[in-house]
Amino acid sequence: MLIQWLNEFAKPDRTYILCNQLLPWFIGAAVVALPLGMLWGLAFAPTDYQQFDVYRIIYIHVPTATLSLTTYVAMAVAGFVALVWQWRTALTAMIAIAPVGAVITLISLITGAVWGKPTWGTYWIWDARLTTQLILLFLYIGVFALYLSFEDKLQGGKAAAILAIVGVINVPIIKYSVEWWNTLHQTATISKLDKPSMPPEMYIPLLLCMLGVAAFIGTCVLLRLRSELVKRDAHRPWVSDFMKDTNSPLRVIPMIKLTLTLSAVAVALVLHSMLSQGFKFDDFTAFLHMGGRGTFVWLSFGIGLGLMLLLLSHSILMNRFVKLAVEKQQARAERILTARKKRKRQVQELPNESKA
Amino acid sequence: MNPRRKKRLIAVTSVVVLFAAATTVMLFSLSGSIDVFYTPTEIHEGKESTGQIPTVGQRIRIGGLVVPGSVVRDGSSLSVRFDLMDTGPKVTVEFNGILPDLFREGQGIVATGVLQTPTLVVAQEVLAKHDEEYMPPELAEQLKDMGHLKNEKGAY
Repeated sequence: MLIQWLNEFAKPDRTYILCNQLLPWFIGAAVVALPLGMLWGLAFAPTDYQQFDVYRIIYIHVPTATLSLTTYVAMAVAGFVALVWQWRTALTAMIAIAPVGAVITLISLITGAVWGKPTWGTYWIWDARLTTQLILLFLYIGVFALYLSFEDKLQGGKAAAILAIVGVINVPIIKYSVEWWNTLHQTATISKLDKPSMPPEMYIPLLLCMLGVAAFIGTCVLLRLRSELVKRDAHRPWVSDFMKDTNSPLRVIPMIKLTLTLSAVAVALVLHSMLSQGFKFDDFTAFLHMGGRGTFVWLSFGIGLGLMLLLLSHSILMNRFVKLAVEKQQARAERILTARKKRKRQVQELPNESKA
Repeated sequence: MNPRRKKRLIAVTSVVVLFAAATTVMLFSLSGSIDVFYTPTEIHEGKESTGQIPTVGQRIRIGGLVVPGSVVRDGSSLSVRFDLMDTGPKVTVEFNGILPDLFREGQGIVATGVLQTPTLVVAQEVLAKHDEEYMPPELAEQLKDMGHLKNEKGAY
């Protein structure tokens, strides 16, 4: 049953429709969780007893760092399916994930460096955790570059899939590096088995940020996957069918009525518990100042959110460009077809004229 | 599962397994050098796994807790001298420079420098290590009163 249901998604049009169905949920979750979680973390969560306000970088550093690993595993699984079952949709998904993962990893590295300067005293140290995370970034870039460097995209995809699968070994090494070796980086605050080493007032906004970043990653991946599917299949009938039909999933903006209602409820709930904690700063200037560490906090959030915005706009623009390219191509095909018909008619009419 | 698919599955899985094995072997043989620092005990007694003791004149990193009451600051310069320990013997560190925010007695730090005598490190860089505990100051205050603060028991 499950296998049969999964097999459906080897077809690009089914995968495309799935993307469209999932997108509103991811967009909704990202729009609710990301701004609220970060606002909560920055302004309403209590300060830390040792690091004071600079610890607030955790609300962008930890979600991106953790999810960069999850995203990598997802990419490797897609690569595995693509190699063994030879699904082109899985290959496309892998290629859609790679750049998103690279940007998320880059954010985790930059925010970590900006956090390291005031707390540790250095931006960078070649300890096991930081080095392996840097390798993760190179793996993401490598997978994408390997795919791009092949003229034959199917071959390139296969080569990239092998790299993605082999690179998965790095994931447990990153995760356990802080336990296996002496590192400057501390061990995990959140783990699934133990109680978090954080009180709930700090923990809940962190979870919210995690959810937001996860939904953001999902949104970007789905947007890119849609574009890649159409780009690759531009000449296939399902694409032209979707383009011609005005009610088709290619045209219709994802229905977001339901998600909007649900989001409103979620926003109300979150706002209630956030506001009940109270604003943690005396005034707005104190908020910007962050106890003297404003530069570091705002720098990491600025760079992080800026990179996320760039990624999102690229994913959206890519969608648009691909659609334009497909429309152009189909218009050309149509023009050629009509021109051919016209010539045929002329050829047929010419002998008649001469007779007359 | 059809035979071709099975073949591919076996091929891909064996590549991953071989690679994992190779990486594990590599990491095991490198385990001593991947550690970012020696602990004070390791400077005295050698690394647990290899028994390797750093020699005088060697550039090393040392990580440990600042022994409370051992910090001696020079009045006229940035020079500072303090002891580090983990569970066993102490190692003295001399440093001339700006200490990170989190430097305080009982704090875990990592210092990079040259081993002058078997128990003295002249550091060029001092980094603070912090733990994974985050809590509001009020809560930390309460825990301190109850004597429950993990940091004081030697986690670093």
